[in-house]
Amino acid sequence: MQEILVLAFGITLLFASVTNMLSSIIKILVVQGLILFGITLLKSTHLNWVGFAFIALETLIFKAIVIPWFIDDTIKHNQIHREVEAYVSNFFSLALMSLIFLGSFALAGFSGQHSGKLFPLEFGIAFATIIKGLFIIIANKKLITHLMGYLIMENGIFLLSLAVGGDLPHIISLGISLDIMLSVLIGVLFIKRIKSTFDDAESPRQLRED
Amino acid sequence: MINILIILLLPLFVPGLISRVKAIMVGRKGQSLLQPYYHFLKLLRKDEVISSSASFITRLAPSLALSATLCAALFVPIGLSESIFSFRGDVVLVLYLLALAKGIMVFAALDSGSSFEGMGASREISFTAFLEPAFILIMASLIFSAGFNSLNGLLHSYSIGGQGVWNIVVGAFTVFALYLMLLVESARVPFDDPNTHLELTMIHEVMILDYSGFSLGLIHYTAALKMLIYSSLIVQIIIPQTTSLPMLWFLGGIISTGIVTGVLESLMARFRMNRNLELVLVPVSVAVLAIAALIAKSIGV
Amino acid sequence: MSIGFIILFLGLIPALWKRSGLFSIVWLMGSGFIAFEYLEVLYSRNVQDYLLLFPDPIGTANIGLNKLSAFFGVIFSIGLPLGMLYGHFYLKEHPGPGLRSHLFWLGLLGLSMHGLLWMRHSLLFLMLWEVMSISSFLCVIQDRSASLKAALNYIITMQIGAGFLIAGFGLLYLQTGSFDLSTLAAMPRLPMYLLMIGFAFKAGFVPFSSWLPQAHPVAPAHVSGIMSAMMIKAGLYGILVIISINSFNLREIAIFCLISVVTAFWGVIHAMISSNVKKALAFSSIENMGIIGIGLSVGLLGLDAGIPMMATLGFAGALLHTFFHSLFKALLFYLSGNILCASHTLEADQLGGLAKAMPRSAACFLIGTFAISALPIGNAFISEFSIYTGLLSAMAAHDLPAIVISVVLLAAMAFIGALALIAFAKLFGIIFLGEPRSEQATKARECPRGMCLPQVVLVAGILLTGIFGNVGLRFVKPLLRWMQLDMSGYIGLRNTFSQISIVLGIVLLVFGLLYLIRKLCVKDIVSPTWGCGYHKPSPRMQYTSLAFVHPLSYFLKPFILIKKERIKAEGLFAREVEYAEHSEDPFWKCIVEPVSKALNWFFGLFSGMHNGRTDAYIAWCVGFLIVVLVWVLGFK
Repeated sequence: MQEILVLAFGITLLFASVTNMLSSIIKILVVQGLILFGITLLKSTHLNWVGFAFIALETLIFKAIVIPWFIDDTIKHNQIHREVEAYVSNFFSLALMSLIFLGSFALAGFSGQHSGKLFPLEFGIAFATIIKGLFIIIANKKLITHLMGYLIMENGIFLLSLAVGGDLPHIISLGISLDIMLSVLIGVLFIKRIKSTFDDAESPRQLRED
Repeated sequence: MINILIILLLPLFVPGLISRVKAIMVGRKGQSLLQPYYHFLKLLRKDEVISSSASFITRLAPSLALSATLCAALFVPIGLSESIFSFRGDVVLVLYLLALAKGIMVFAALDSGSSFEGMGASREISFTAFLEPAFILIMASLIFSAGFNSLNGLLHSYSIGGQGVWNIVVGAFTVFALYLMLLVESARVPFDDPNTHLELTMIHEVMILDYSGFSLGLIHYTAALKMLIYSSLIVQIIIPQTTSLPMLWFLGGIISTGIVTGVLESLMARFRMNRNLELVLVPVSVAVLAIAALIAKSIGV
Repeated sequence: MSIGFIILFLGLIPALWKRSGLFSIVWLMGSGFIAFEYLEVLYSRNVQDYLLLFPDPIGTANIGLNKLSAFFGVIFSIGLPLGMLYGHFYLKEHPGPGLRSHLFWLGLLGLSMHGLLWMRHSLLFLMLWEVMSISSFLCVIQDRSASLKAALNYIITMQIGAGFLIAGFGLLYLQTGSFDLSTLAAMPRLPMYLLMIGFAFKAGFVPFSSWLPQAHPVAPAHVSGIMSAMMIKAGLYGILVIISINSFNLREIAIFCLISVVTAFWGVIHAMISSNVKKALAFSSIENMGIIGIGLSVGLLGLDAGIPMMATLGFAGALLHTFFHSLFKALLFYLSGNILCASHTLEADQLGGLAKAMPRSAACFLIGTFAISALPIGNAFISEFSIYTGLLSAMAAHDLPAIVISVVLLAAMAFIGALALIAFAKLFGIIFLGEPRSEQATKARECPRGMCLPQVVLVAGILLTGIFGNVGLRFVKPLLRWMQLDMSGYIGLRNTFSQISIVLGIVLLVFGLLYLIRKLCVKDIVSPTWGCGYHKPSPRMQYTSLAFVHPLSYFLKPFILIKKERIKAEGLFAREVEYAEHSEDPFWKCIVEPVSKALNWFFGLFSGMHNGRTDAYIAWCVGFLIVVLVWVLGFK
């Protein structure tokens, strides 16, 4: 069951390469949050009240509900154009995604051979997610897309901490959630500030292509 | 024996089913389910009009395409019985026989000297460039989990109801990628609209624009047979192994694939042409993900 | 030595008397005899060895055949006489000055290729290698009006390659103490790499392949055919000799694999965007060399990972592809000669509709296209099938590096195969089908029967080896056994090929049946193509070659350097607008051109010395003597 969820996580990354709409990436963030919730539930062997509440707060509430709502609100408020404006076409994005999968699974396979505590499947997908998040940041024009890429990267780091064996260490999760909260706050404030200073938050678009 | 009957008689049923489903979704009554058969028989009786620019290629292409596709169909198992031919590595032969059929039709399209047909040929063959690696990778992932076997053996030793959660996972990926390939190869929405007759938006339809009569009948039959081949591959993976009515499952599976395709065609619009070329890479990515995950899993904890 | 060799040598005499017909007949006879000898070596155990005494420093030279040389010898002895025959008819249609010397160099080229296979002594091997390069260069420039620049590019690249070979063989002599190649058990690393690079120059692996697409279009058709189908195989022969002697570790195999994949990819992409027939065929040769390299690396990987079936199938596929490539590439180059004869141009965008004017050539080109795109009736399908089966059998083994490399190779081969189909569908479709696009194409007529004769023979060979895969397999079997590969894979492949023959037979039978029904029962009415409501359709409305590959070329832009020259439309009433694009070779542009520019600049610094005045030269000489005097007296 766990593996199906992890692979579904991988499929969302493929979806992120294919789509052209900002709202789809927000939906991807929601789905990723839900999947992470499911995975952590299945992985935690012993669970008390506090642990369960913490996990639920972080993944379900934070990643799947609050942050996407926040971003959605920012987009509507700033009237950001609804398309993802990428520097590379979808084809190269997909091709690169396939190569990233191959590479991160190769890495997972080769390091999994030496250490026993590594879960190569989760490691591979987590690593691919981190690189995909970085790629989204590099290859897109809009600021809001950079923010979403950063969030995907954080999801990947979260999954990575699950991949390296054992139960969920709470300190890491605390650090990650703090990180996410701060980054979202700063990003949103930054965008709102830009909006109020200049008229639009995007770079000027040419009417004619050369 | 029953394999041959099904291969010969079943293909034309599926396009009729899809049209009927589309009609019902829109609120019409729709044509009879056997309409494609009537159409085919009518076409066989007619004479042909051949373009003055055409050479011998136009005259021999539909026959060669049909015979290549027919022989490819002989490798696909129906239900739980064995396929008529099988040997280790026949997946490559099936892939290349289908490529032969497509190649000769592309030649025939260029033969008529019309710009529309050239356009259709160019687009159609560009799609092939990405589907061939996807097919091989899917077969490679099946071989990885089930051992090196013929197409027949692979599909029989594989089924979604089998043991372990990984069977379901790989089965799901394979079915998804194969279904996308079915949509592209049979020229269905969202990759190509079989009902459009606007020249700028046709792909498969426009390649056969100049055909009529006997050859056109053969071409319709070939297209339906190709769709049946891909649907059989999908259905064979879904059929559970321990069942006493395999043929029922098989026919039910083909009918469900037809219904799903019809519903999908009614609900979606065709994607923009540039986007199509980009999206055709998706089966490859899914196959890469499946095979990479399989390899990582077999090594890890 | 052998009768065949002597007959071939005697063939130089009719060459000097400009009797090309007699020349080809002598070549046919001689090749027959020499092929018989090669087959004898291949199938029985008679390995003839001669020891010739040469004056020092050559010493005793071992001259003989082993199974590998015999294999390549049979390939040469099938292809060369057909080439000479085609050359006879082609030169009759295209008479030019220098027929005597051209035939002489052609004969010398063939002789050196055969002689190369017998030489086990590195110095003699090098000498014959040089003779081969120089005689091929002299054959290429037969058509004086064509550009000399491409031919010079070719010979200089060959000399650089020969330089690597000299370095490699020299180091080998220094480290092992002998010139003899037949007694080597393993080679030290550095000479082996140098030799591989030297052979890669000839075989046309990237990044050493810039000469191929430049040399082949300017050469006459029969020379291009001989060069591409057979001379390149000489480079491959060298690589195979090295492979049969040494064993490789995983890293070296991976590098070889990477180079082969890049070569194949590079070749096929450029073949896709070329509209000149010969250029596209030259790039396709590069692609096929890449595929042979992939087959060899599959075999090596199988040996390294301990998967015997993969090893056998990989090597079988590579060797089969070597043989088959010589057949279909020669056919296609000869057909390009036909096209040039009939319509005086090689640009696909100026042609069209030639199938109605030249039905025989069109049918041969169709079979050639099937062969080169690895479609089932053509014979490249058989060799690629072996390589695919080898890769798929590796998927069932449990060696991680082998599986990862196999996955990448499977995807790469399928993709490259599809791109090759696109490239040749475009070429065949635009040249032969549709309506003629220019005056020259409308005036095309079928070539004389003689020109079509070698092509019909080659087509028969392609169909035979394509449908009955076991014919090719039997030819390759002694070599597999000689390389000590596991023969159970061979037996499996033999059974598989029998079944494939049956299936292909059914395909042809059903096709024949349907075609017969159509011919007998259906009446054809001829009328112009449906123009969709447009009343004046013209041939210019058809697709052009770049337009055909346009959907994919968008994705391939990062890999191809296209230089665009344009004069843009300016203002409201534009005066002139111009647009031209041509593709460039990045290896040539980034490596060779800067070096040659730097060399020119460096030597340009000394151009002041070249002022034509004798007193200045005497002054330079005196100055030099003074410097030398001071140095010898002062510092010594």
